[in-house]
Amino acid sequence: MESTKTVYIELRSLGFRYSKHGKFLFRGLNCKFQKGFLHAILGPSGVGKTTLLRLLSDEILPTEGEVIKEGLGRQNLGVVYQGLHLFPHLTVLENLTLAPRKVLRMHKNHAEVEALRLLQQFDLHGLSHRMPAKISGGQAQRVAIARALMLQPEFILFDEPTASLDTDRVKVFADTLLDLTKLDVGCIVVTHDQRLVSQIEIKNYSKAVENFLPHTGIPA
Amino acid sequence: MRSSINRALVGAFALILFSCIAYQVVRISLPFAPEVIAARRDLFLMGAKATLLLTLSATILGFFVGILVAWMKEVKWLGTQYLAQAFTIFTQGTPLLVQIFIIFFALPEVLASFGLNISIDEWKAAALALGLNVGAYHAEAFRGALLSIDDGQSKVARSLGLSRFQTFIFVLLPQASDRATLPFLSNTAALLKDSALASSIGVLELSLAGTRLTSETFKPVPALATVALIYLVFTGVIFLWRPVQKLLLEAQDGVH
Repeated sequence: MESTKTVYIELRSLGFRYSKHGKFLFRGLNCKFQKGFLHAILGPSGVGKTTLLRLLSDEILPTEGEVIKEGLGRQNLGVVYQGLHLFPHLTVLENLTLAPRKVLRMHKNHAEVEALRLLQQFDLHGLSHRMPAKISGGQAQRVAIARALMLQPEFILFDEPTASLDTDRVKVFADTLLDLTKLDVGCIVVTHDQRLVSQIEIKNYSKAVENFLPHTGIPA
Repeated sequence: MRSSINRALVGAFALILFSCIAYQVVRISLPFAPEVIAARRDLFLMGAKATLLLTLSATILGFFVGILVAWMKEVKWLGTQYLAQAFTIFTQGTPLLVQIFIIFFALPEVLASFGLNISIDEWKAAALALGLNVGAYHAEAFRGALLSIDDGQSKVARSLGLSRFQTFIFVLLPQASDRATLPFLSNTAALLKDSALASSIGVLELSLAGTRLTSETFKPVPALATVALIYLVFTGVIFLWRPVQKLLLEAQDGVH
């Protein structure tokens, strides 16, 4: 866990409201997310979990306070959305290689070697030439994670990752999260899924809006 | 990505190939038509060829106009969307016949007043008017296809670091082009039929061939029936593309 540069995401008295005179969804959030840790943002629907995720991924700007991303570039922050959104017109392999080739200007062969290595790691090696419509939900999710990992992110944000998974798959997914932290990737998971929560054994779970705070989870 | 481009190229190639086959079918069957028609089959063939060529050139022009106009409406850069909107309102709100007249009779005069002496013959005028017209309809079909793509696709592409332009080219365009195929085909079929209006400025295409033979022989029934049949063969060919696309899509999924 000794990285030479300091990489973290910090929220400083973060507040957000959708309209100018509306009610604050949340206010005065202070928190620090670290690499190699699993952070869970918990709470029932409607407390602003997904909004916080959108703030973290720069999709929207905060009303108050700031999101500090120390040592992070744009592609160092991967996002796995609830709908996954694999590119339906590309094969699994092409889904993984598109961004590295176009954004990092990686050579095609190089990108494919890297992608196949990740697919192997995620137990997906037989699927590289399938179209996304022809794989299962659990497989699609691992493809989406592998796609985010191709850009070697420091952090990955997950939006309700277990919403469409059965209980066995939730366990597998929790293992995947732990594997990611072992690769020194910071995971920030937005969820209200009790099954996932119990899987990753987060104790301070609270339903109260006032206590809606990102809780630091277990280190790798 | 590559497979979508391949499908589009195969599609374009198939349309040209099918048109050639349809033309040959017409050429081979005309001698078996009633004597009135068979005797003047050269006239019909000339007209059929003109109709196909007009449609083909207007299709190529219309395709690029369509993408350009759809893009102008999407980027909203320096008021491009107003220009595109004005173009759409004009082309969809005025009769095609009037548009052909404007390009054939009025445009050279307007250009001349700017010191540009460009002669536009009836062929160019017809192809230009038809291409611009079908382009406006293509643009709407294409924009509809773009809007029907889930927002998440661009969101994810952007989160993976792709630029707006890269997202358009590599993520949205291939998906939209597959979805826009059917409206594109209907527009092309409409274009083929609209090409009959080119006869109004003297292009000898299929329908003019029919009316000319009618006035020569005073036998409208065989002449116009032949014209209608040939149009049916041609529009039928356009819709043959749909099953071909289906086969290609299935082949793509079936390989793996």
